[in-house]
Amino acid sequence: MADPAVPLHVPLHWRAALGPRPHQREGRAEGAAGVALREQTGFALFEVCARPGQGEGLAARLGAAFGLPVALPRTGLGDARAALLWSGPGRWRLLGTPGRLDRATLAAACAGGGWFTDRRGGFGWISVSGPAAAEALGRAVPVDLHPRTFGFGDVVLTTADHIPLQIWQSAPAPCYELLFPRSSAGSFWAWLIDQMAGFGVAVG
Amino acid sequence: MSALRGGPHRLAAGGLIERESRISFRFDRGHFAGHPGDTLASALLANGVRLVGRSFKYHRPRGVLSAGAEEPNALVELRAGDRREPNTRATVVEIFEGLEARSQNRFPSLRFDLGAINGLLGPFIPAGFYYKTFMWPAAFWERLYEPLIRRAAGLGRAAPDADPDAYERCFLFCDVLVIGAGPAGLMAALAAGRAGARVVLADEDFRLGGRLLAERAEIGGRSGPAWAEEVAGELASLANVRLLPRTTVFGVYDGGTYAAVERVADHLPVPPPFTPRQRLWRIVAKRTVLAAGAIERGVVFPGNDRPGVMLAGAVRAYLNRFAVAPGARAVVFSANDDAARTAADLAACGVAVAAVVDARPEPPPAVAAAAAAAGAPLLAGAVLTRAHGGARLTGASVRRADGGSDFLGCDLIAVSGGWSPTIHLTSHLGARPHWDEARLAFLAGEPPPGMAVVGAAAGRMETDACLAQGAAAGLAAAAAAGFAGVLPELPDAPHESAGRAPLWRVKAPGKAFVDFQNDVTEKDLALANREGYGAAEHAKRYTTLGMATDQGKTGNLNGRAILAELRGEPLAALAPTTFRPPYTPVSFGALAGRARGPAYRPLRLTPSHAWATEWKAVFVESGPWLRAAYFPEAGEHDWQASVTREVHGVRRAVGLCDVSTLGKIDVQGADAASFLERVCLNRCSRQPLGRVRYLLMLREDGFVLDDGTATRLGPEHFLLTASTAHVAHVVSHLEWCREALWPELDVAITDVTEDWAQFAVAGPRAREVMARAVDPGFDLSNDAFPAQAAAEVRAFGGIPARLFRISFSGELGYEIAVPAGFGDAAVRALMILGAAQGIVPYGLEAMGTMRIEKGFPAGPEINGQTTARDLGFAKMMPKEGAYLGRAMAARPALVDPERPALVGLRPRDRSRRLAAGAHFLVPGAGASLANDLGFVSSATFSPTLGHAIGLGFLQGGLAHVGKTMRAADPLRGSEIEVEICPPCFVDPAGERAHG
Repeated sequence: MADPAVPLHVPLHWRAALGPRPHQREGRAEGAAGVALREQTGFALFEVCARPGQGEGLAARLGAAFGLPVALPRTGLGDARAALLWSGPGRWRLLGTPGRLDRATLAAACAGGGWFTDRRGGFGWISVSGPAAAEALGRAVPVDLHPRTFGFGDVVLTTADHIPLQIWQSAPAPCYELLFPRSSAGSFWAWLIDQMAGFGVAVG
Repeated sequence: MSALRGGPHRLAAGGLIERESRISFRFDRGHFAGHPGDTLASALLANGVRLVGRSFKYHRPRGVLSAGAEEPNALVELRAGDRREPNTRATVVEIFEGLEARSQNRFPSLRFDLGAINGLLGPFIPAGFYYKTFMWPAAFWERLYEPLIRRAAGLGRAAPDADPDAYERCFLFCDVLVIGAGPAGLMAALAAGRAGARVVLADEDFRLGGRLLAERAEIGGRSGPAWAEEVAGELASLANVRLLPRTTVFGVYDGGTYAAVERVADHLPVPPPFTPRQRLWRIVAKRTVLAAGAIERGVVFPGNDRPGVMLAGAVRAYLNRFAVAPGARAVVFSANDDAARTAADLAACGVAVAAVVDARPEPPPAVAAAAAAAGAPLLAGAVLTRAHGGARLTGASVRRADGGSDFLGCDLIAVSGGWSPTIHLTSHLGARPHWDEARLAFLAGEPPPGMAVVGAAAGRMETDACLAQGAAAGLAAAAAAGFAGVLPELPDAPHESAGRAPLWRVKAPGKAFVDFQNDVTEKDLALANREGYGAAEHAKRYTTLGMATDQGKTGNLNGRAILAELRGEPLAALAPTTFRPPYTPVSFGALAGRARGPAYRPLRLTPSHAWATEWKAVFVESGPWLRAAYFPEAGEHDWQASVTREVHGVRRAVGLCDVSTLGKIDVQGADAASFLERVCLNRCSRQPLGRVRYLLMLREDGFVLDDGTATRLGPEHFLLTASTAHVAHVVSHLEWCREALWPELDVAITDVTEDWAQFAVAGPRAREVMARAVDPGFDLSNDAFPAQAAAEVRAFGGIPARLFRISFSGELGYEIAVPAGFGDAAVRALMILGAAQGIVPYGLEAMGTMRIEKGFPAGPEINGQTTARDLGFAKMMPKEGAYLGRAMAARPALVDPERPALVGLRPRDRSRRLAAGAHFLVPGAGASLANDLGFVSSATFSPTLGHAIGLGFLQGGLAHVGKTMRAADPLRGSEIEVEICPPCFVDPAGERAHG
């Protein structure tokens, strides 16, 4: 037991939304996995809301500030380290590696144009890739993920098994990013594995 | 033994079965064999099994009537144990190795069934029997009639335990959905698929081809099945086409949405690993081509339900597709040109044709020629007046055109009353079909948006017309979805003669069935009409016509024609009935998908869940959340013991509770304070920075929506909390106010409930614990950080946190919030830091107990029916300014002094318990509604006081303090005397929380 008279200086460990999870196969075990799932952890996330009438200007300023493409309605573009996701009228989620997204830059970009709140604790993030990613995820969610209607840079807000879900495609080859509420991570994961089990799932 | 060698009634050649493979299966006690490609019905017929079930009401022996999904008779229990499935149609069940099927509704055996006595009692149990008989005496209903009716009701037995298989629900989007893979559907899919549209082709059969599989017609110089296979092959090769065999599209919904069930593994003994038994598809299509074909009708004549009376189209299917002779000597009975095909196919397969009975006075030459070729007499203008036999057909009586009668020995009657287009899906959105006198059929009215109806479903019975219509519709559908193409070349195909005359029933003495599955006879319809239930919808309910699992697919039209005749009206004048989903029965398993057991609905877990699990917390569902109710320690076998210990722990030392589930709503903007003043009772613009205020929010109708707190984090930044159960409602209410009422306000609302792990640390020693949790440099003294203070701090060694001096227990209390990812570590750290102070984890039960001790209203009090005044918060309501709910809260009934208001109560006899839900009565008053003075909303045992306490709403409220009332609970049979007191039981001055 720690000496109660001494303030705690042991660094607190961040717990990923899904908690500790070993690399493993789920579902069909034969052959190559059709789907690869990987939980992204330790990311920063801010939700930005524009003041009335300031939406477009704010989006442009955010893009410029962080070197990201401007997120038009229903787009979510970025690179491996940061992305700016349209998240509703006049609303964006800015997420990525903590080093890339510093609060001061964000505050400067938002000044006079909008409001932001730090939401890093609120979400789980799973990347879906693999040869069957489009088919497996396309069956599971009420969104048409066909390349003709949903491609690189597209983002959508939907629900999966009653759980709010934001999906964006992060690469030209089908690779999808799933953002969901942290508290539902366990149920979301169970649902995702059930839906994709037939394709063979590599976790890690 | 002959049965095991493949079935004595199997034709020597032909059929779409794999003769080289054998499948063994069981039906009742018999062991049989069939081939891949067989249905259970075809395999049974091949083995000479004609009797497959007993009817529902009269227990009449029944055989196979059809060869498709419309089957009313051949319903069997399939599989065994927990996979047992009643009422499966033998005509669509693919046989598999080891299949077990049982006949239904018979005792002790199918052949000798005691229930058949009902057949003799038939005259005493006509339509409406139940309605008339089980009316009185009323006292008999519950104990006698209902159990009797329940015992008689239902067909088949459900599985004894939970279904061990998995079911899946999936989404599918396409440009063109083609329903039905007969000639029209295949051509539609081909045209649309070649044009590049995303096509889904769904067919309920396990093999694509529809009627082509059952007929001998040649398409493009090949057999129908060969042509279908070729087209299916091309479709399968197109990346933009998805074939869904074994898939029934059963419902149409708004926005081009269709529901379909795919029987993924129904044809296998057990689904392979990670394969669902069935899959429910929600298909969204830009355009739809309905090519669902048509369903043949029977003819209503005495004995028409005998095993051996079979639809003529089904006879051809068994002969041509399954290479089975359903009889040795057949009579063909119809009034349409299909009779020629039926007679020809029978003869070609070596089945003797005893006669072709055509009700038309002058059948066309083709029918006469086919009869002659089959060596059968053509009896023109004649009708069958009776089918003879019991469990096996022995012959038929025929009334010739000249009025004379004959007896025709036969074991098979191939009957056709004509074809009804399968237009069920066209009316799922409400469109009514219309009667087409020329085609003697109901055709689709205005189909759902984006749907085209083609082929037999549109009344076109000629193969060449089906192909042409399908191709054109497929091309048009693709074009409408943005894909131009060219019309595929149409193969040569027959233009069958489709002459027809009405033939609904034959008037003759004897029991003639309209609805086989529900045993509705022609006489029942006559009775319904006589008794004033002759309108189609009334007759249906009076007689149960068409209300069985087959929904009357083969008999409804005959029934309506009979009703029209009885009423002296043309069929067209009878208001058409519509169809509702599902087209055919869908299992609950498919509808539920994986949403059963623990997956019934998603759960939300608190940041401390893993830690609480390690501490052996007992969890309780609280809305979607799973929360720790209490933390039992060794030796505590009663939850009350744990709760009492936890409450004492908090009140005497310090306790720790995860309160993350409370809603947290971030409100920012230049107009944040102004916005909040419009939606709640607080004067937020006057609220100091770094202070927390109790918050009350009204609905527009003046009742309380929720309570919580408002913390001012900055001049333009507030953080609200809301009750766990009300968060979603509160957020949507705020969003609505912002978007609809005051869009001009600069305010941003974000639900940040998920983002923060928040822990209450409460008790006289809470400050000692927090002093170690919060990083050095922050002054926690009562002067620097008094009650209702809030601050953004660093804690646990540099973690950004929010600290609130608030208390739901009435003790010196803090709540500390850290980003949710640190929640697990933070709770563990707090337990270590508080060990010296004796920190105890406490759960929802202890929290609820302490809030009742403090008289704080919660869910049972803020129940949507109480006002701020009822709750004792009248003084919070601002006299000035406009806010939501102000006007409506001033309605006379809501400010009536006699309105029940919040009070506390305790039993006069302190040893007794209180029950929430009990009603207040003055001593001596009878327990009646007129004397009701209010009710107990919350009750608990107070560990602090050592007796029961409660909160309630009493007329006159606190004016009754000190008086004695009765709390009567007639539901649970208790009544006790209670003393009315103020709602706060512990530390009414609030000294502990402020210390």
